[in-house]
Amino acid sequence: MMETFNGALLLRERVFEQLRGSPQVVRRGMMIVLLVGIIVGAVDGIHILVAALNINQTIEQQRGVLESFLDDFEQQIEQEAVDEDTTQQQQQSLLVSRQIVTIGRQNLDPYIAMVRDLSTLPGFLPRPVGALAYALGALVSTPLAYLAALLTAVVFTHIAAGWFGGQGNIQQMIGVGALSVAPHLLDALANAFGFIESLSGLIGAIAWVWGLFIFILATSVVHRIDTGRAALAVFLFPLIGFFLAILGFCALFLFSIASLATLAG
Amino acid sequence: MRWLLDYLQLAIGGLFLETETYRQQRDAADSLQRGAMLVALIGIAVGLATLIGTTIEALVTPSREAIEQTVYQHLTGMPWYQNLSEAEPDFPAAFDEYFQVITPIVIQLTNGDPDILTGFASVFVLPMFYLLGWLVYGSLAHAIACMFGGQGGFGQTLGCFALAWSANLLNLVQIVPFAQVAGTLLLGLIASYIAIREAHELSPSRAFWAIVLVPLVVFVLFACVLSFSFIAFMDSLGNAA
Repeated sequence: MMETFNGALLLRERVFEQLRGSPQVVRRGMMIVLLVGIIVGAVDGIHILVAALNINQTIEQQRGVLESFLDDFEQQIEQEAVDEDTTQQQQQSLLVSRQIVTIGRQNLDPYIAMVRDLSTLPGFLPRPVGALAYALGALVSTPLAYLAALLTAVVFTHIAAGWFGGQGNIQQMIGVGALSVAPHLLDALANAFGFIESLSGLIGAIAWVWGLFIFILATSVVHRIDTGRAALAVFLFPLIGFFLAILGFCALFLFSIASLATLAG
Repeated sequence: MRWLLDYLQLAIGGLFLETETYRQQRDAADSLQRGAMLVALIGIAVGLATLIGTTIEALVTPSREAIEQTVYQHLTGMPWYQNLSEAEPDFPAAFDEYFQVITPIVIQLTNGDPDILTGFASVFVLPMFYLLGWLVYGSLAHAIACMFGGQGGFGQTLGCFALAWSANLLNLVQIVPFAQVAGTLLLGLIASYIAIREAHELSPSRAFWAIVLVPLVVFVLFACVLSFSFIAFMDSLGNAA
Protein backbone atom coordinates (compact mmCIF):
# COMPACT_ATOMS: atom_id res chain seq x y z
CA MET A 1 0.00 0.00 0.00
CA MET A 2 2.86 2.38 0.82
CA GLU A 3 4.31 1.84 -2.65
CA THR A 4 0.95 2.77 -4.21
CA PHE A 5 0.73 5.77 -1.89
CA ASN A 6 4.19 7.05 -2.82
CA GLY A 7 3.62 6.31 -6.50
CA ALA A 8 0.43 8.36 -6.40
CA LEU A 9 2.17 11.32 -4.77
CA LEU A 10 4.98 11.19 -7.35
CA LEU A 11 2.47 10.80 -10.22
CA ARG A 12 4.07 7.52 -11.39
CA GLU A 13 1.89 6.32 -14.25
CA ARG A 14 2.99 2.68 -13.77
CA VAL A 15 1.42 2.62 -10.29
CA PHE A 16 -1.85 4.01 -11.70
CA GLU A 17 -1.86 1.35 -14.45
CA GLN A 18 -1.16 -1.47 -11.97
CA LEU A 19 -4.04 -0.34 -9.79
CA ARG A 20 -6.35 -0.07 -12.82
CA GLY A 21 -5.65 -3.72 -13.64
CA SER A 22 -6.25 -4.99 -10.10
CA PRO A 23 -9.44 -7.07 -9.59
CA GLN A 24 -9.84 -5.39 -6.18
CA VAL A 25 -9.37 -1.87 -7.46
CA VAL A 26 -12.17 -0.29 -5.37
CA ARG A 27 -11.08 -2.06 -2.17
CA ARG A 28 -7.46 -0.88 -2.60
CA GLY A 29 -8.53 2.67 -3.46
CA MET A 30 -10.85 2.88 -0.48
CA MET A 31 -8.04 1.70 1.81
CA ILE A 32 -6.07 4.80 0.81
CA VAL A 33 -9.10 7.01 1.54
CA LEU A 34 -9.49 5.26 4.89
CA LEU A 35 -5.80 5.66 5.79
CA VAL A 36 -5.70 9.39 4.94
CA GLY A 37 -9.09 9.99 6.56
CA ILE A 38 -8.11 8.26 9.79
CA ILE A 39 -4.84 10.21 10.11
CA VAL A 40 -6.48 13.59 9.36
CA GLY A 41 -9.45 12.67 11.58
CA ALA A 42 -7.10 11.70 14.42
CA VAL A 43 -5.45 15.15 14.34
CA ASP A 44 -8.92 16.74 14.26
CA GLY A 45 -10.00 14.54 17.16
CA ILE A 46 -6.96 15.48 19.23
CA HIS A 47 -7.76 19.16 18.57
CA ILE A 48 -11.32 18.66 19.78
CA LEU A 49 -10.16 16.73 22.82
CA VAL A 50 -7.57 19.36 23.80
CA ALA A 51 -10.07 22.19 23.29
CA ALA A 52 -12.72 20.40 25.37
CA LEU A 53 -10.34 19.59 28.21
CA ASN A 54 -8.97 23.16 28.31
CA ILE A 55 -12.40 24.71 28.11
CA ASN A 56 -11.42 27.94 29.87
CA GLN A 57 -8.61 28.58 27.43
CA THR A 58 -10.91 27.83 24.47
CA ILE A 59 -13.55 30.23 25.79
CA GLU A 60 -10.95 32.96 26.34
CA GLN A 61 -9.83 32.48 22.73
CA GLN A 62 -13.46 32.98 21.65
CA ARG A 63 -13.60 36.15 23.74
CA GLY A 64 -10.44 37.39 22.04
CA VAL A 65 -11.93 36.79 18.59
CA LEU A 66 -15.13 38.65 19.50
CA GLU A 67 -13.24 41.55 21.10
CA SER A 68 -10.98 41.99 18.08
CA PHE A 69 -14.05 41.88 15.81
CA LEU A 70 -15.67 44.67 17.83
CA ASP A 71 -12.39 46.66 17.83
CA ASP A 72 -12.08 46.35 14.03
CA PHE A 73 -15.72 47.33 13.54
CA GLU A 74 -15.30 50.36 15.79
CA GLN A 75 -12.12 51.41 14.00
CA GLN A 76 -13.93 51.19 10.68
CA ILE A 77 -16.78 53.34 12.01
CA GLU A 78 -14.36 56.00 13.26
CA GLN A 79 -12.55 56.08 9.91
CA GLU A 80 -15.85 56.61 8.10
CA ALA A 81 -16.86 59.29 10.63
CA VAL A 82 -13.70 61.32 9.87
CA ASP A 83 -14.72 61.58 6.20
CA GLU A 84 -16.22 65.07 5.68
CA ASP A 85 -18.33 64.07 2.67
CA THR A 86 -20.67 61.83 4.64
CA THR A 87 -24.38 62.45 3.99
CA GLN A 88 -26.98 62.72 6.72
CA GLN A 89 -28.19 59.20 5.91
CA GLN A 90 -24.63 57.85 6.31
CA GLN A 91 -24.26 59.66 9.64
CA GLN A 92 -27.44 58.02 10.89
CA SER A 93 -26.10 54.66 9.79
CA LEU A 94 -22.83 55.38 11.68
CA LEU A 95 -24.86 56.19 14.79
CA VAL A 96 -26.65 52.84 14.52
CA SER A 97 -23.30 51.07 14.03
CA ARG A 98 -21.90 52.76 17.18
CA GLN A 99 -24.95 51.57 19.13
CA ILE A 100 -24.37 48.02 17.87
CA VAL A 101 -20.76 48.15 19.11
CA THR A 102 -21.89 49.50 22.50
CA ILE A 103 -24.53 46.75 22.87
CA GLY A 104 -21.93 44.17 21.81
CA ARG A 105 -19.45 45.36 24.45
CA GLN A 106 -22.11 45.54 27.19
CA ASN A 107 -23.25 41.97 26.52
CA LEU A 108 -19.87 40.35 25.85
CA ASP A 109 -19.14 39.28 29.43
CA PRO A 110 -22.64 37.85 30.11
CA TYR A 111 -22.43 36.02 26.76
CA ILE A 112 -19.07 34.48 27.66
CA ALA A 113 -20.51 33.45 31.03
CA MET A 114 -23.39 31.72 29.21
CA VAL A 115 -20.97 29.85 26.92
CA ARG A 116 -18.90 28.80 29.96
CA ASP A 117 -21.97 27.49 31.81
CA LEU A 118 -23.25 25.64 28.74
CA SER A 119 -19.83 24.06 28.13
CA THR A 120 -19.63 22.79 31.68
CA LEU A 121 -23.18 21.43 31.93
CA PRO A 122 -22.87 17.80 33.04
CA GLY A 123 -24.33 14.78 31.24
CA PHE A 124 -24.90 11.39 32.85
CA LEU A 125 -21.27 10.43 32.16
CA PRO A 126 -18.33 12.69 33.12
CA ARG A 127 -17.35 15.49 30.71
CA PRO A 128 -14.03 13.94 29.58
CA VAL A 129 -15.99 10.94 28.27
CA GLY A 130 -18.14 13.32 26.24
CA ALA A 131 -15.04 15.04 24.87
CA LEU A 132 -13.59 11.66 23.91
CA ALA A 133 -16.86 10.73 22.18
CA TYR A 134 -16.77 13.95 20.13
CA ALA A 135 -13.12 13.29 19.20
CA LEU A 136 -13.92 9.73 18.10
CA GLY A 137 -16.86 11.07 16.08
CA ALA A 138 -14.52 13.39 14.19
CA LEU A 139 -12.04 10.55 13.70
CA VAL A 140 -14.51 8.21 11.97
CA SER A 141 -16.39 10.93 10.07
CA THR A 142 -13.36 12.26 8.18
CA PRO A 143 -12.78 9.20 5.91
CA LEU A 144 -16.46 9.27 4.94
CA ALA A 145 -16.26 12.98 4.13
CA TYR A 146 -13.31 12.30 1.81
CA LEU A 147 -15.16 9.35 0.27
CA ALA A 148 -18.29 11.42 -0.41
CA ALA A 149 -16.22 14.17 -2.10
CA LEU A 150 -14.32 11.58 -4.14
CA LEU A 151 -17.50 9.79 -5.30
CA THR A 152 -19.08 13.08 -6.39
CA ALA A 153 -16.00 13.98 -8.45
CA VAL A 154 -15.76 10.46 -9.86
CA VAL A 155 -19.38 10.24 -11.03
CA PHE A 156 -19.31 13.54 -12.95
CA THR A 157 -15.84 12.97 -14.39
CA HIS A 158 -16.72 9.42 -15.44
CA ILE A 159 -19.77 10.65 -17.35
CA ALA A 160 -17.76 13.42 -19.04
CA ALA A 161 -14.85 11.08 -19.85
CA GLY A 162 -17.31 8.74 -21.57
CA TRP A 163 -18.33 11.60 -23.89
CA PHE A 164 -14.65 12.21 -24.72
CA GLY A 165 -14.12 8.60 -25.77
CA GLY A 166 -13.14 7.15 -22.37
CA GLN A 167 -13.14 3.37 -21.99
CA GLY A 168 -12.68 2.73 -18.28
CA ASN A 169 -15.36 1.49 -15.91
CA ILE A 170 -16.70 3.15 -12.79
CA GLN A 171 -14.91 0.75 -10.41
CA GLN A 172 -11.53 1.59 -11.95
CA MET A 173 -12.41 5.29 -11.78
CA ILE A 174 -13.23 5.06 -8.06
CA GLY A 175 -10.18 2.94 -7.21
CA VAL A 176 -7.59 4.88 -9.21
CA GLY A 177 -9.30 8.23 -8.53
CA ALA A 178 -8.92 7.48 -4.80
CA LEU A 179 -5.19 8.08 -5.24
CA SER A 180 -6.05 11.79 -5.48
CA VAL A 181 -6.92 11.69 -1.76
CA ALA A 182 -3.27 10.85 -0.90
CA PRO A 183 -1.98 14.48 -0.85
CA HIS A 184 -4.78 15.37 1.56
CA LEU A 185 -2.60 13.81 4.21
CA LEU A 186 -1.30 17.39 4.30
CA ASP A 187 -4.70 18.38 5.73
CA ALA A 188 -3.49 16.83 8.99
CA LEU A 189 -0.61 19.31 8.93
CA ALA A 190 -3.00 22.14 7.99
CA ASN A 191 -5.22 21.23 10.96
CA ALA A 192 -2.21 21.02 13.27
CA PHE A 193 -1.21 24.55 12.20
CA GLY A 194 -4.82 25.71 12.35
CA PHE A 195 -3.80 28.52 14.70
CA ILE A 196 -1.79 30.11 11.83
CA GLU A 197 -4.63 30.74 9.40
CA SER A 198 -2.57 31.70 6.33
CA LEU A 199 -0.19 28.74 6.71
CA SER A 200 -2.99 26.23 7.14
CA GLY A 201 -4.80 27.74 4.14
CA LEU A 202 -1.66 27.48 2.03
CA ILE A 203 -1.06 23.84 3.00
CA GLY A 204 -4.72 23.02 2.25
CA ALA A 205 -4.46 24.70 -1.17
CA ILE A 206 -1.28 22.75 -2.01
CA ALA A 207 -3.00 19.47 -1.10
CA TRP A 208 -6.02 20.36 -3.22
CA VAL A 209 -4.01 21.29 -6.34
CA TRP A 210 -1.75 18.25 -5.95
CA GLY A 211 -4.84 16.04 -5.62
CA LEU A 212 -6.32 17.65 -8.73
CA PHE A 213 -3.22 16.76 -10.80
CA ILE A 214 -3.41 13.16 -9.55
CA PHE A 215 -7.12 13.01 -10.37
CA ILE A 216 -6.51 14.23 -13.92
CA LEU A 217 -3.76 11.62 -14.40
CA ALA A 218 -6.05 8.94 -12.89
CA THR A 219 -8.81 9.87 -15.36
CA SER A 220 -6.34 9.75 -18.23
CA VAL A 221 -4.99 6.31 -17.21
CA VAL A 222 -8.38 4.74 -16.43
CA HIS A 223 -10.09 5.95 -19.60
CA ARG A 224 -7.00 5.67 -21.82
CA ILE A 225 -7.34 9.25 -23.06
CA ASP A 226 -4.68 11.99 -23.21
CA THR A 227 -4.26 14.29 -20.22
CA GLY A 228 -5.78 17.25 -22.09
CA ARG A 229 -9.06 15.41 -22.57
CA ALA A 230 -8.86 14.06 -19.05
CA ALA A 231 -8.49 17.62 -17.70
CA LEU A 232 -11.46 18.66 -19.82
CA ALA A 233 -13.49 15.76 -18.40
CA VAL A 234 -12.57 16.78 -14.84
CA PHE A 235 -13.44 20.45 -15.37
CA LEU A 236 -16.49 20.05 -17.64
CA PHE A 237 -19.23 19.72 -15.02
CA PRO A 238 -17.72 22.25 -12.55
CA LEU A 239 -17.52 24.74 -15.46
CA ILE A 240 -21.12 24.04 -16.48
CA GLY A 241 -22.14 24.50 -12.84
CA PHE A 242 -20.18 27.76 -12.64
CA PHE A 243 -21.81 29.19 -15.80
CA LEU A 244 -25.26 28.09 -14.65
CA ALA A 245 -24.64 29.82 -11.30
CA ILE A 246 -23.59 33.04 -13.10
CA LEU A 247 -26.67 32.85 -15.33
CA GLY A 248 -28.82 32.26 -12.25
CA PHE A 249 -27.34 35.30 -10.49
CA CYS A 250 -27.84 37.45 -13.62
CA ALA A 251 -31.45 36.30 -13.91
CA LEU A 252 -32.02 37.04 -10.22
CA PHE A 253 -30.40 40.47 -10.60
CA LEU A 254 -32.54 41.34 -13.63
CA PHE A 255 -35.65 40.04 -11.88
CA SER A 256 -34.97 42.21 -8.79
CA ILE A 257 -34.39 45.30 -10.97
CA ALA A 258 -37.59 44.60 -12.88
CA SER A 259 -39.51 44.10 -9.61
CA LEU A 260 -38.12 47.35 -8.17
CA ALA A 261 -38.98 49.21 -11.38
CA THR A 262 -42.53 47.85 -11.27
CA LEU A 263 -42.87 48.87 -7.62
CA ALA A 264 -41.46 52.34 -8.32
CA GLY A 265 -43.73 52.74 -11.35
CA MET B 1 -21.49 -18.92 12.33
CA ARG B 2 -20.24 -20.01 8.92
CA TRP B 3 -23.38 -18.68 7.23
CA LEU B 4 -22.88 -15.29 8.88
CA LEU B 5 -19.33 -15.08 7.51
CA ASP B 6 -20.65 -15.96 4.06
CA TYR B 7 -23.12 -13.07 4.25
CA LEU B 8 -20.37 -10.77 5.51
CA GLN B 9 -18.20 -11.69 2.53
CA LEU B 10 -21.14 -11.10 0.21
CA ALA B 11 -21.79 -7.68 1.76
CA ILE B 12 -18.14 -6.67 1.53
CA GLY B 13 -18.02 -7.74 -2.12
CA GLY B 14 -21.12 -5.61 -2.74
CA LEU B 15 -19.71 -2.65 -0.82
CA PHE B 16 -16.44 -2.73 -2.79
CA LEU B 17 -18.36 -3.04 -6.08
CA GLU B 18 -16.68 -6.32 -7.05
CA THR B 19 -18.22 -7.35 -10.37
CA GLU B 20 -17.51 -11.04 -9.75
CA THR B 21 -19.59 -11.01 -6.54
CA TYR B 22 -22.51 -9.40 -8.41
CA ARG B 23 -22.24 -12.05 -11.15
CA GLN B 24 -22.15 -14.89 -8.61
CA GLN B 25 -25.21 -13.46 -6.91
CA ARG B 26 -27.02 -13.17 -10.26
CA ASP B 27 -26.27 -16.80 -11.09
CA ALA B 28 -27.08 -18.22 -7.64
CA ALA B 29 -30.19 -20.41 -7.49
CA ASP B 30 -31.39 -18.80 -4.23
CA SER B 31 -30.52 -15.25 -5.27
CA LEU B 32 -33.75 -13.69 -3.96
CA GLN B 33 -33.71 -15.45 -0.55
CA ARG B 34 -30.04 -14.65 -0.01
CA GLY B 35 -30.72 -11.04 -1.02
CA ALA B 36 -33.62 -10.67 1.43
CA MET B 37 -31.53 -12.17 4.24
CA LEU B 38 -28.61 -9.88 3.44
CA VAL B 39 -30.77 -6.73 3.46
CA ALA B 40 -32.38 -7.75 6.75
CA LEU B 41 -28.99 -8.47 8.34
CA ILE B 42 -27.62 -5.10 7.18
CA GLY B 43 -30.72 -3.43 8.66
CA ILE B 44 -30.28 -5.19 12.00
CA ALA B 45 -26.55 -4.39 12.14
CA VAL B 46 -27.10 -0.70 11.33
CA GLY B 47 -30.00 -0.55 13.78
CA LEU B 48 -27.84 -1.99 16.58
CA ALA B 49 -25.00 0.42 15.71
CA THR B 50 -27.46 3.33 15.84
CA LEU B 51 -28.78 2.16 19.21
CA ILE B 52 -25.27 1.96 20.73
CA GLY B 53 -24.19 5.32 19.26
CA THR B 54 -27.41 7.09 20.32
CA THR B 55 -27.21 5.63 23.84
CA ILE B 56 -23.65 6.90 24.37
CA GLU B 57 -24.64 10.30 22.89
CA ALA B 58 -27.58 10.52 25.29
CA LEU B 59 -25.35 9.62 28.24
CA VAL B 60 -22.74 12.29 27.55
CA THR B 61 -25.12 15.07 26.44
CA PRO B 62 -26.70 17.39 29.03
CA SER B 63 -30.48 17.23 29.15
CA ARG B 64 -32.49 19.54 26.90
CA GLU B 65 -34.22 21.06 29.93
CA ALA B 66 -30.87 21.94 31.54
CA ILE B 67 -29.65 23.59 28.31
CA GLU B 68 -32.91 25.52 27.88
CA GLN B 69 -32.86 26.69 31.50
CA THR B 70 -29.22 27.84 31.33
CA VAL B 71 -29.76 29.75 28.10
CA TYR B 72 -32.96 31.34 29.39
CA GLN B 73 -31.41 32.44 32.70
CA HIS B 74 -28.41 34.01 30.96
CA LEU B 75 -30.35 35.68 28.15
CA THR B 76 -32.88 37.25 30.52
CA GLY B 77 -30.03 38.49 32.71
CA MET B 78 -28.21 40.27 29.88
CA PRO B 79 -28.21 44.08 29.60
CA TRP B 80 -29.94 44.09 26.17
CA TYR B 81 -32.88 42.14 27.66
CA GLN B 82 -33.12 44.47 30.66
CA ASN B 83 -33.01 47.57 28.45
CA LEU B 84 -35.66 46.27 26.08
CA SER B 85 -37.90 45.14 28.95
CA GLU B 86 -37.75 48.62 30.47
CA ALA B 87 -38.47 50.32 27.15
CA GLU B 88 -41.19 47.88 26.06
CA PRO B 89 -43.29 46.25 28.84
CA ASP B 90 -44.72 43.62 26.44
CA PHE B 91 -41.25 42.44 25.44
CA PRO B 92 -40.74 39.69 28.13
CA ALA B 93 -43.99 37.93 27.19
CA ALA B 94 -43.14 38.06 23.47
CA PHE B 95 -39.60 36.87 24.20
CA ASP B 96 -40.90 33.87 26.19
CA GLU B 97 -43.21 32.94 23.35
CA TYR B 98 -40.43 33.03 20.74
CA PHE B 99 -37.96 31.34 23.09
CA GLN B 100 -40.27 28.33 23.52
CA VAL B 101 -40.62 27.93 19.77
CA ILE B 102 -37.04 28.60 18.65
CA THR B 103 -34.93 26.95 21.38
CA PRO B 104 -35.97 23.31 20.76
CA ILE B 105 -35.17 23.77 17.04
CA VAL B 106 -31.76 25.31 17.79
CA ILE B 107 -30.94 22.54 20.30
CA GLN B 108 -32.01 19.88 17.79
CA LEU B 109 -29.79 21.43 15.12
CA THR B 110 -26.72 22.03 17.28
CA ASN B 111 -26.85 19.37 19.95
CA GLY B 112 -28.91 16.64 18.28
CA ASP B 113 -31.05 15.95 21.37
CA PRO B 114 -30.27 12.20 21.28
CA ASP B 115 -33.09 9.91 22.34
CA ILE B 116 -32.47 6.30 23.49
CA LEU B 117 -36.06 5.32 22.61
CA THR B 118 -35.44 6.32 18.97
CA GLY B 119 -32.30 4.17 19.07
CA PHE B 120 -34.32 1.18 20.31
CA ALA B 121 -36.96 1.76 17.65
CA SER B 122 -34.31 1.80 14.91
CA VAL B 123 -33.32 -1.82 15.72
CA PHE B 124 -36.83 -2.96 14.73
CA VAL B 125 -37.83 -0.32 12.21
CA LEU B 126 -34.63 -0.13 10.16
CA PRO B 127 -34.59 -3.76 8.90
CA MET B 128 -38.23 -3.43 7.81
CA PHE B 129 -37.54 -0.05 6.25
CA TYR B 130 -34.54 -1.45 4.37
CA LEU B 131 -36.51 -4.50 3.18
CA LEU B 132 -39.38 -2.32 1.96
CA GLY B 133 -37.03 0.11 0.20
CA TRP B 134 -35.13 -2.77 -1.40
CA LEU B 135 -38.36 -4.34 -2.68
CA VAL B 136 -39.84 -1.11 -4.06
CA TYR B 137 -36.59 0.22 -5.57
CA GLY B 138 -35.59 -3.19 -6.93
CA SER B 139 -39.02 -3.81 -8.49
CA LEU B 140 -39.05 -0.42 -10.20
CA ALA B 141 -35.50 -0.88 -11.44
CA HIS B 142 -36.42 -4.33 -12.77
CA ALA B 143 -39.42 -2.94 -14.68
CA ILE B 144 -37.34 -0.14 -16.20
CA ALA B 145 -34.46 -2.49 -17.06
CA CYS B 146 -36.91 -4.81 -18.85
CA MET B 147 -38.18 -1.80 -20.86
CA PHE B 148 -34.55 -1.14 -21.88
CA GLY B 149 -34.23 -4.73 -23.12
CA GLY B 150 -32.86 -6.35 -19.95
CA GLN B 151 -32.90 -10.15 -19.83
CA GLY B 152 -32.52 -10.78 -16.08
CA GLY B 153 -35.24 -12.33 -13.92
CA PHE B 154 -36.99 -10.59 -11.02
CA GLY B 155 -35.13 -12.70 -8.44
CA GLN B 156 -31.80 -11.97 -10.12
CA THR B 157 -32.47 -8.21 -10.08
CA LEU B 158 -33.44 -8.17 -6.42
CA GLY B 159 -30.56 -10.48 -5.54
CA CYS B 160 -28.05 -8.10 -7.13
CA PHE B 161 -29.83 -5.09 -5.63
CA ALA B 162 -29.34 -6.59 -2.18
CA LEU B 163 -25.59 -6.34 -2.80
CA ALA B 164 -26.05 -2.68 -3.74
CA TRP B 165 -27.78 -2.23 -0.37
CA SER B 166 -24.38 -3.06 1.19
CA ALA B 167 -23.52 0.63 0.72
CA ASN B 168 -25.57 1.07 3.89
CA LEU B 169 -22.76 -0.67 5.76
CA LEU B 170 -21.17 2.79 5.86
CA ASN B 171 -23.93 3.67 8.34
CA LEU B 172 -22.25 1.28 10.80
CA VAL B 173 -19.97 4.16 11.81
CA GLN B 174 -22.96 5.46 13.76
CA ILE B 175 -21.84 3.04 16.46
CA VAL B 176 -19.42 5.87 17.31
CA PRO B 177 -21.33 8.75 18.93
CA PHE B 178 -21.49 12.04 17.00
CA ALA B 179 -20.21 10.36 13.80
CA GLN B 180 -21.43 11.96 10.56
CA VAL B 181 -22.28 9.57 7.73
CA ALA B 182 -21.58 10.72 4.18
CA GLY B 183 -21.39 9.12 0.76
CA THR B 184 -23.96 6.34 1.37
CA LEU B 185 -26.48 7.63 -1.17
CA LEU B 186 -23.96 8.11 -3.97
CA LEU B 187 -22.20 4.80 -3.31
CA GLY B 188 -25.63 3.14 -3.22
CA LEU B 189 -26.52 4.63 -6.61
CA ILE B 190 -23.20 3.49 -8.12
CA ALA B 191 -23.69 0.01 -6.64
CA SER B 192 -27.27 -0.06 -8.01
CA TYR B 193 -25.91 0.84 -11.45
CA ILE B 194 -23.52 -2.14 -11.28
CA ALA B 195 -26.31 -4.37 -9.93
CA ILE B 196 -28.69 -3.56 -12.80
CA ARG B 197 -25.88 -3.79 -15.37
CA GLU B 198 -24.85 -7.24 -14.17
CA ALA B 199 -28.35 -8.61 -13.45
CA HIS B 200 -29.66 -7.70 -16.90
CA GLU B 201 -26.36 -7.63 -18.80
CA LEU B 202 -27.24 -4.13 -20.02
CA SER B 203 -24.84 -1.75 -21.76
CA PRO B 204 -23.35 0.91 -19.41
CA SER B 205 -25.48 3.70 -20.92
CA ARG B 206 -28.74 1.74 -20.59
CA ALA B 207 -27.88 0.71 -17.04
CA PHE B 208 -27.16 4.37 -16.25
CA TRP B 209 -30.54 5.55 -17.53
CA ALA B 210 -32.35 2.70 -15.79
CA ILE B 211 -30.84 3.85 -12.48
CA VAL B 212 -31.42 7.55 -13.10
CA LEU B 213 -35.08 6.92 -13.98
CA VAL B 214 -35.89 4.98 -10.78
CA PRO B 215 -35.67 7.97 -8.38
CA LEU B 216 -37.63 10.04 -10.91
CA VAL B 217 -40.40 7.43 -11.06
CA VAL B 218 -40.41 7.20 -7.25
CA PHE B 219 -40.71 10.99 -7.04
CA VAL B 220 -43.58 11.11 -9.56
CA LEU B 221 -45.41 8.26 -7.77
CA PHE B 222 -44.90 9.97 -4.42
CA ALA B 223 -46.17 13.29 -5.83
CA CYS B 224 -49.23 11.51 -7.30
CA VAL B 225 -50.04 9.78 -3.99
CA LEU B 226 -49.60 13.06 -2.13
CA SER B 227 -51.82 14.95 -4.59
CA PHE B 228 -54.57 12.31 -4.48
CA SER B 229 -54.45 12.22 -0.67
CA PHE B 230 -54.69 16.03 -0.57
CA ILE B 231 -57.64 16.04 -2.98
CA ALA B 232 -59.39 13.28 -0.98
CA PHE B 233 -58.75 15.20 2.26
CA MET B 234 -60.15 18.44 0.82
CA ASP B 235 -63.13 16.52 -0.56
CA SER B 236 -63.88 14.96 2.83
CA LEU B 237 -63.64 18.40 4.43
CA GLY B 238 -66.10 19.74 1.84
CA ASN B 239 -68.53 16.86 2.49
CA ALA B 240 -68.29 17.35 6.26
CA ALA B 241 -69.10 21.04 5.83
